[in-house]
Amino acid sequence: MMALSKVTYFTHLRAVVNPGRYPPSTVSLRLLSFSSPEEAAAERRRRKRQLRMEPPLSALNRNQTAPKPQSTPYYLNPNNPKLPEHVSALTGNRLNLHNRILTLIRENDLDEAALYTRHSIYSNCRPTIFTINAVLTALLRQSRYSDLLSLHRFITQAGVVPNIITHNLVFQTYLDCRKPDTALEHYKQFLNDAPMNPSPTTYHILIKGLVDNNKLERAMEIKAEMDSRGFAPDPLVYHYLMLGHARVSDGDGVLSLYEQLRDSLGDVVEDGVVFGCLMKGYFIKGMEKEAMECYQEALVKKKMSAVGYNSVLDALSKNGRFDEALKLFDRMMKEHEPPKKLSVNLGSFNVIVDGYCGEGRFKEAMQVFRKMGEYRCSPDTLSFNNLIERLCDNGMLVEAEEVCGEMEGKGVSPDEFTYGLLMDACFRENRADDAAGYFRKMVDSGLRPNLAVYNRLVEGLVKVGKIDEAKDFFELMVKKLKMDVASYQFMMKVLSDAGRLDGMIQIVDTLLDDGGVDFDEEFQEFVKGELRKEGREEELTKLMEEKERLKAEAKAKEAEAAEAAKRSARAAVASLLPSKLFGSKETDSESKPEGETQALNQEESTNATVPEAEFAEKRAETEGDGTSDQVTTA
Amino acid sequence: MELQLHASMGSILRAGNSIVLTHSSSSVPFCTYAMPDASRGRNTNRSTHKIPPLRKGNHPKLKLDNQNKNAPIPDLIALCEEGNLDQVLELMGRGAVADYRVYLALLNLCDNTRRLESGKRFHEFLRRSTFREDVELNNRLIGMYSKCGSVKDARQVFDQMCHRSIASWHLMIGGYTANGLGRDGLLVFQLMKQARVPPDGETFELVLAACAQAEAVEEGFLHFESMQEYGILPSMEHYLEVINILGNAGQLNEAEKFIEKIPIELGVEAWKSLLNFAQIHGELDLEDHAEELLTCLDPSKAIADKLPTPPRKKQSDINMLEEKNRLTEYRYSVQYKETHEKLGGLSGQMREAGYVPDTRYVLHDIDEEEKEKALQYHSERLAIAYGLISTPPRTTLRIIKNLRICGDCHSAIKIMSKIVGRELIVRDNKRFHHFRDGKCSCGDYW
Repeated sequence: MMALSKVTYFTHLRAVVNPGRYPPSTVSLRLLSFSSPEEAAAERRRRKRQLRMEPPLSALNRNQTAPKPQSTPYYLNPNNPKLPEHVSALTGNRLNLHNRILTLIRENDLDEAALYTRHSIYSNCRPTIFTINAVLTALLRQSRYSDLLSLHRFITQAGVVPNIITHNLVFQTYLDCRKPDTALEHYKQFLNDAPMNPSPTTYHILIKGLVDNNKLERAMEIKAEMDSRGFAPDPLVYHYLMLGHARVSDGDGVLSLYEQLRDSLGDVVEDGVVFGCLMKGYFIKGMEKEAMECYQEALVKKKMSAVGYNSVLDALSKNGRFDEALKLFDRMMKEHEPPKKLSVNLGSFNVIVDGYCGEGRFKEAMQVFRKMGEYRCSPDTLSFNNLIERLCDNGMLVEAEEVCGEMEGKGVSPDEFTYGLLMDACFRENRADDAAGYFRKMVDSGLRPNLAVYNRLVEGLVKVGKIDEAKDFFELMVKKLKMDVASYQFMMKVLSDAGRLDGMIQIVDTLLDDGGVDFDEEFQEFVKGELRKEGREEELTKLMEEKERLKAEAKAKEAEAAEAAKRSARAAVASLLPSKLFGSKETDSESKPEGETQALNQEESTNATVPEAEFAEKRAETEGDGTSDQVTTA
Repeated sequence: MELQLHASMGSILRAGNSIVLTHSSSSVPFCTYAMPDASRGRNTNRSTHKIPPLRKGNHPKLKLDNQNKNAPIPDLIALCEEGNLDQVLELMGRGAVADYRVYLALLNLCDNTRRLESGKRFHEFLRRSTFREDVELNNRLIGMYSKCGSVKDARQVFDQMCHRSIASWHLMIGGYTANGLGRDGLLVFQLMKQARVPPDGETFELVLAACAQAEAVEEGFLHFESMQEYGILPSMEHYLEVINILGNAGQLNEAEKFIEKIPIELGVEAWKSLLNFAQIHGELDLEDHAEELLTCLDPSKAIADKLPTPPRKKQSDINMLEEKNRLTEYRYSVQYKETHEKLGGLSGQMREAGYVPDTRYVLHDIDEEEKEKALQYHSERLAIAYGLISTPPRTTLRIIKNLRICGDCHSAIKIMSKIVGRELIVRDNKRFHHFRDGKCSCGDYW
């Protein structure tokens, strides 16, 4: 508008000065002098642009409380949060760096990729946020959560502005690690601070993650928020939520969600992804007829993706319609035409294998499992674990071992859970030596079994009278595990029962060195009680005194060394300057404790994750159905 | 081709405005540089006669111009074709009259050479010519300016145009987008709608490109849907632009979904751009999928020595490995307001690594915070900071200092060397210190 009015002004001027003629040069010079109102107009336009610019959500909130006049462009105001880099930043050297990192990721050298990215931060070629995201994504793919978080922390500290993908990755990480609260906290921070809006993928990640973490209510809240932000209703989101309701057997919840979706989409739900869960909902409510009608409808009319198929498959096989499921599976395999149409994926096989096992048809389960490769699906550790668990539970240890042997050929390595399963099964079959063998293999291959697995092993060994071996494992694991009181006592009891008190005293020795376990009165009483059997109780006090003495000696030595260091530092400084400036000892003594508390805090934060272990332990036990659900929706 | 040399006009103008005023009193058009060409049928020799003879003697340059008059008249068009931009401009500066074709040729030249200075000079000539309101020339001018990276000038030209064709609008929107100002491009589109210029398919292509530049996903979809209101059927280009919008904003899953929904056959292009975006955002699986589809459609695109994708790893339960997966939880606190100097940026990481400023080495009587700040600006640290930002990663830095290194710097540099992953060799007046991986060759004794 400004532009137009200005032009009319110009023509008007021309007419006044010299009708019918070209304007004299004075006008032309005046024309040039217009450049300042022109600039003012440009400024005004820019300001308008500012106002119309999709305001970051946070800015909206902020403006409500304290509206600030925005006269400078967004990027010139240092108080505005920085915007992430644009795709066009990825050129020249930075693009070369990006490609280099991508190659490293392809070569599966993630350590180097992450390290090189870090080192590039402080160089003349800063990695773009895209490069960093690529590394973070690769780390997440390999479930290397702590590496991911530490890299993320590094880049935020270095002032690299994260973009929406980075945020999504962080949410995904915390949800994958079963820390939904942290994820939500980050999400809240993101809404408040980040100069960008969440994307549909953000909501997919959050809602799926929350449902998987049994936080259905929070997931529903997030969905409500998504609606209020004007996002189109997304069938996939509804699928996750319905799945969550189905898991807690809330049939009404499933149905009402479906109705909600249907209403908002105008009575027709094109996407077939929700129908599997809808069927589950009907089954829960005992409405078999409706469920099967829904099944027929989905097959004929709807657009089905692999995820949609899998959930239908799951609904059928879990509700006693395995034959129907097999029929559908056949159809899916026929439709499967990679890469154009992907109707079968790993999840489908997991469901079918699980279904066969549930029917007790283990031979067929293994057959289907082995057929996976033909459909370009490769089983991961999770699906192997699932099958092995089913086989072990049904006493088919030989088959389970066979399947386990196939893992290496498929490029999948067994994990702690696999070995734990096999170990337990071996104990059940009275093959204690093999069980010990699996445990040893697990430790040798760099895996880290937890305390529960170790306890089961030692218990099993002791039960069959292999005390020596149990003791060997104790000695092997005592350095690697944080043994608790019960594990120590168990081993001591075993040794003392076998009359090997020397061995037991040796354990007390390591226990005292350990420091992780509190050797309290009760515990001491227990040890004394054991020793009393042979009247050697005074040996404990002797041992403890000896330890105390050694510790005190070490401490004295340490203090001496620290003193010496201090002295030399002081001497170094003193040699530099005249004495009066270095008079105050206060600064000296003040700065020290600060460092110590910091170190302590760090210690604490690392320990904070320990209780988490128990939770997962419980989860591992229910892994059976957790597995299929998880992979189905993946 | 008719060429005129208007002797002395250039020099006279340079001498002062007074002469021009005398001109304007007669019926001579103001614009004396570029006379209307023959096709407009004006007598072009008039201006030469109108020069007051009186002034001639005062001007040394006039002689030269007079000589030029006798010299063979240079063919501006030919010069343009030779690409001799400067010479043509010089000649025009001296008063050579150029016709429409010369202007066009000149614009092309400016366009190709991307020299803003020449462009501006040319604009000056154009402004005084009779073609100054010519839509085509102005459009080209807008294009030239935006190609030279001066959108401000382009916008000025655009604003001063009395009549605009749809191409002017297109050029302006495209110009903004090309210069990374997608938002302004969208504003121009808004103006265009207000001016009731009916947009066409190309307009929307440009508007969507502007959205892609500005990462304005929602707005992009609004525009994309509004195409129907104007009765424009989205073509392949439009769909590709929408993919660009989503890709630029990092919404790859949405992009993939969008591609699947497109009713027309997009072929290779769509997947190619998705592949590209997957590479940018580091989505390995999507990249592979897109590539597979691509080779499926066009087998010649197959990459022979492609590295296989490393398999996904999923831990059945993470807590079997308490220690390995120890999660360092941390509060999300981005210090946006912090200036991101290298040293400022590093200090957070250094503190995390256990660095505590040792303020004993600051000898001035200032408060603790000031002391820490003072420590940050020791010359060796400044030198390292400079070295870091000016060299590629992992190169060794050598720093020479003629005083002894202070204890705090020593420990700071030790930690720094680990964080930045470089060897830092610092020589002070006593010895060399080789810092590497958080250790120093002097063994903390110097």
